[in-house]
Amino acid sequence: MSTMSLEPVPGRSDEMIVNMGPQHPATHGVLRVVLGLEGERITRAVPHIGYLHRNHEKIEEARTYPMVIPYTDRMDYVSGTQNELPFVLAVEDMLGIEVPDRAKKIRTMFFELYRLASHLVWMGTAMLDLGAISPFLYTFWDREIILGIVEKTAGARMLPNYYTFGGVRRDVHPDFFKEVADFLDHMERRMVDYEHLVLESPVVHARTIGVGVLSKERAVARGVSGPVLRASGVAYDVRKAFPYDAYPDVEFEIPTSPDGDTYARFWVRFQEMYQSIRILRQLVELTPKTGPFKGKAPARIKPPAGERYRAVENSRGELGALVVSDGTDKPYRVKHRGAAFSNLQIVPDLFEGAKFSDAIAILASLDPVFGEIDR
Amino acid sequence: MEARVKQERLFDEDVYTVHPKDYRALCERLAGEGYDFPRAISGIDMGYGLRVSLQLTRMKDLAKVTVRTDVPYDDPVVPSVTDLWPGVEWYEREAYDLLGIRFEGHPDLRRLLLEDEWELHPLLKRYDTGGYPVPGWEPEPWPDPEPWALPLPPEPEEAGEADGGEGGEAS
Amino acid sequence: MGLLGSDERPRDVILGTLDDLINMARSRSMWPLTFGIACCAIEMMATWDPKIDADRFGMFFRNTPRQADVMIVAGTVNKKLAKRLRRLYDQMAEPKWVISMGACANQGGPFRQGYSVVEGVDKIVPVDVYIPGCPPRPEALLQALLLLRDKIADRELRYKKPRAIPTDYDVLAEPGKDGRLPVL
Repeated sequence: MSTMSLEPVPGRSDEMIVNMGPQHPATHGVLRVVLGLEGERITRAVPHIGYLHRNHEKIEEARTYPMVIPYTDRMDYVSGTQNELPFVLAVEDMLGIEVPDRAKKIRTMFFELYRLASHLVWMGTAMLDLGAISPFLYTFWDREIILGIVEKTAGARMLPNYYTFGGVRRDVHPDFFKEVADFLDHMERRMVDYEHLVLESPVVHARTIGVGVLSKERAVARGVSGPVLRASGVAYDVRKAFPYDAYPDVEFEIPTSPDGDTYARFWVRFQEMYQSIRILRQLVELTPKTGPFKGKAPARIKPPAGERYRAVENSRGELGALVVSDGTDKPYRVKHRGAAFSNLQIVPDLFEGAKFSDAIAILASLDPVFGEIDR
Repeated sequence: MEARVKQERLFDEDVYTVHPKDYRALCERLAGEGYDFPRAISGIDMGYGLRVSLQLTRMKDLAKVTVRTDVPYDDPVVPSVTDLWPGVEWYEREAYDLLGIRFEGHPDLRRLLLEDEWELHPLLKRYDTGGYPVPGWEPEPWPDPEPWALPLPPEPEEAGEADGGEGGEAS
Repeated sequence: MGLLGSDERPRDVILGTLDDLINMARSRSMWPLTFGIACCAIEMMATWDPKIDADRFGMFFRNTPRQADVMIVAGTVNKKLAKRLRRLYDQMAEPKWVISMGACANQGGPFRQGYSVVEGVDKIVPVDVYIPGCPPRPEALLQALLLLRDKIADRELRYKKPRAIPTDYDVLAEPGKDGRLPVL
């Protein structure tokens, strides 16, 4: 079984065991992969995680429900408010809180803005891994625009603690819709540049087409979700499968690709960015400019005893939260299902037989964020 | 005959609570019925024992199902379902790591998030947030009727509760 | 950190001026080690993006500790990672400095109560500059880098070397075996 720890195999004396350590420019965080290499080809790969295990689940058992929301922010830290939503939705279900329509639309707008921000970080860092430095500078400039918009409303750039039970914490700032519309115009021009830089680059083609092919059945059996699953041909998106917030009110498509290789995963994320822009354009028109931003919620959040699992479509896949309550004001158990946690399980499958530089491209296309994996 | 499977409908999914000996058979039956996407396996410390909660989705029609089983603290052994759904491999390792639940038949059951040499299973309720034992913690008595027993027919005033015998914990 | 490894500034004019010049050069080309761990790493990357751009101060990332002289610890350090962090610090060549970025690296941050979180990276390596914030804004990281630059170039300050905070318990052991009473 390829996930056993690596011991030298007798008869395979050409194999060199190399550690791709937790400090590495291209592991997207603190991942350690112990590789068995024969020349350039990887024979075995054993990932080790846990270098960012911050005890979210144990600490959250000692915090009241509103205090858990900032902790959830810190899981998938490039996606900001996307992490707050499964927990908030689960508790709203257990308490039966109604969210007003305007609040749902505002939440969805922030959700999609952060999806764009997360895919921009992905694009910049993936291209850095493949050796291109310029896309990083362009994508982070665009991300700064998004973070500026969020900061004017929520008060913080990356980890805003903005959603709450019943809606959002405060109303959007007066220029919000105009700034988002201007940003979307800017972004549509930029996407043309990004296509030239990334999708049409001959280096990207050479390094990603045909590399790291993941079959449909393997992907589903491994619990893979998100762009990685859709690039293998399965059209599963939690926004369409189990809709939440304002997604039933907007039109969008789920891009899939039958190839399952690294280029397909790049391409699917690009198409998702286009779809996010499309959703945001519709929401800028549809959201009422005045109205309530938070529904009625009890002052002391004390869900009745029970449990509830809710999932959302994170930038990485299906992010879920299982909230078990015992009737007090602190959760009894919160289990976070990280999308990247399931996605990372295919690393041994995809690395074996690949060349070492392919392994870097594969990791870049999987887009792990370790706050969500190690929790 | 003693009942060993309880089925109920919570919110929008079917929830089965089974005896650990029937867990594997039920999982194989569900795999045969086409539930192919493993969402997660969660370990929960219930106060009287440990619970394993497996969540599955069927891609064809997006049906969701949850399978739960409870084991006592002194013998936390549950059959592994890694051969049916490879995607639960790391979830089972994490449940072993943080709660001490041993999965029989798992290909590589070692710690995932904590160091290999550690002996602590920190998510148990007997430890506080810092990992130190809570003074005076005692496990609760095993619930009676058992978690997988069929519920009593609901009486008119407790129509909102699916099973009244499980105390304040997750129903 | 002085000329020829001395512990105080040389008193005579020629060597003293040479010492000042060398340290001014050191301060203008601080090369950080890429050691982004968690959320603060993203804000660290944002400090090098075109909006704030710390590149113009002569700082660019080196991936190997052998070539770096500043280690910016950006994110929560837990016991599993702490051993590797110490090893990386030991692999850096003198003179070296450490910037502790964010609440988690300063004192454990919001995760301080956890069983596997080290309460501050200064229990493992000596820290020169602490940046509060969760996460600190890129401007705050830039201010810290400039503060460190001034510290390196200053005549007196650069010889005040920090030390790692000593503890009476084993920082890297699991709770229960580290020899300390439970602390909230």
